[in-house]
Amino acid sequence: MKKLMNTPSDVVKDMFAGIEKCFGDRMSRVAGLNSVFIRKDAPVEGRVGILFGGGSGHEPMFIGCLGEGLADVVVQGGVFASPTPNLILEAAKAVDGGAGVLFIYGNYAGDILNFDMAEEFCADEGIEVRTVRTCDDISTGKDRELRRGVTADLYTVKIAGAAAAAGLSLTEVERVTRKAMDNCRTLGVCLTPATLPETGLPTFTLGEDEIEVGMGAHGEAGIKRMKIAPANELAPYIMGKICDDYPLAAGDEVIFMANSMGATTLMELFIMAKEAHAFLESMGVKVWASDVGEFMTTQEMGGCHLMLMKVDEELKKYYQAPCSSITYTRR
Amino acid sequence: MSVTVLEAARLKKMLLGVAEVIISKKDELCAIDSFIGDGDHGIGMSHGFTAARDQLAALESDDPSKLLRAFGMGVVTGAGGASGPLFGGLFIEGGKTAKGSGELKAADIVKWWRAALDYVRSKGGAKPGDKTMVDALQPAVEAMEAFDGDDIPELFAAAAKAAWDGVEKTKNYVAGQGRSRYLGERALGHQDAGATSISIILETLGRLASEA
Repeated sequence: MKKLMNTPSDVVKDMFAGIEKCFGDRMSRVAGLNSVFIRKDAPVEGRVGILFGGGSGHEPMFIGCLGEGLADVVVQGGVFASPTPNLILEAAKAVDGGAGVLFIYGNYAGDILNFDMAEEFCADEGIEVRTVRTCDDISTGKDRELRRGVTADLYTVKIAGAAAAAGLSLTEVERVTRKAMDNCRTLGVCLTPATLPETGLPTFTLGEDEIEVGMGAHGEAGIKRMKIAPANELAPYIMGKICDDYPLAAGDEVIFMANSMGATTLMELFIMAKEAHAFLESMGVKVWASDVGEFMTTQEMGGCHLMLMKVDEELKKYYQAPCSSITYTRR
Repeated sequence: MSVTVLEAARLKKMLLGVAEVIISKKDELCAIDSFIGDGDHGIGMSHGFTAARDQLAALESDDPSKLLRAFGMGVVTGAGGASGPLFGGLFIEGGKTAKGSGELKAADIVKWWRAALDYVRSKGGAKPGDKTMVDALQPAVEAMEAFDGDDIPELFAAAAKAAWDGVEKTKNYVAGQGRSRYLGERALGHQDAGATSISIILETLGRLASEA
């Protein structure tokens, strides 16, 4: 697989050097590290610091959510690898404005171990930390402890960033962030595999006409391998599974997302969106807002995630609050 | 000749020796891991223990607690992924239990490894029978706690024997945690790489404890 890079083992370092060259006016490197960046206007004395991160290779997640109204500091690890506790600690120290720090990251074994250890180190340094792990992907089954975090990362950090900007306390920021996360449900369908920059090899194989529903962001097995089907079958199938897990009633309001896993075109996303909206309309559920695009990828994996976040007035308020990052801006 | 006390200098030599052995077994550990994992256990361990060796070698200290912590932190930062905290945690937890001790006796070592097991069990989420490092570590710690005596090399030898027995048993388990849990019955017949690493570490500590 051809990729535009230099030495494969330098992809993360080189990527961040490029980001710094393009957008160094609004973010700074933390402690000279390769992959830890902080907003230029952070920390703010008395404001909760939002620390967001995980493995690289999923861009624009996480660095694409660094900015006003979103994350204050982003810490990324190697490709598909959690950042290590020393990096997370440096990020927390850099972002602490005396009002505590909220860690937001995806529910993956490696991330949990490394962020938890960092939380211990933060406690040693007198930094108060709370944690919200994203676990919106329903494909592993009913037990939420086992669920993986995928696209809910965007709305989780958006709500957290808005709440922090509004001056809420750490306890309150955690509360409303957890509410946003708890209201998200996602299921994806994968069409073609991703390849790892370092090896050039695909992370798994799929037949020419095969797709896998519920495949994970690192190639983890999904719930069903099947033949490709039209969008007007796949989207209702996915939406049906989501609604089995998170029953919605007529009159409920949701925010809808169609996310490209990396290779899938906007054209395809909008076709899936058309069918998903129709499904929700037939249930009397109102789609209050939509996001369609590339928010959380796995290199050049083909496929898309569909996500719903059920909203109340509080979540709507924080979703609409202004924000600005290199890839997600709202006025 | 019996060894009943580990002073800082000997402990440092032992830890550096463990690092060298793990680094030398990189390919072997990858091969073991390739059957039921993604074949990279040896790479993470090699990176982790290289960083641990370098951090420890650069540290001048007669405090076993500081030596253990530096070594563990090296593994954490060098290995990355889930292996970093799990294997680095073995030594970081040891560092916590050794605080205030100028040298370690058998009872201190048992405390160290009990704390290490408790950390791995509580943070990693695996139980015995899940086909993970716990399948070597838990029997090892139980053997240490049952050990009657103060000879440190023999203490580690008892632990290592129990650990290797645990590794052998993992061949009959279907994985409940970690990457290989997606394999189901295909994991049968193959030992777990993490459990193997635990056994190598304990066996090496025992061997080096009796060297001058």
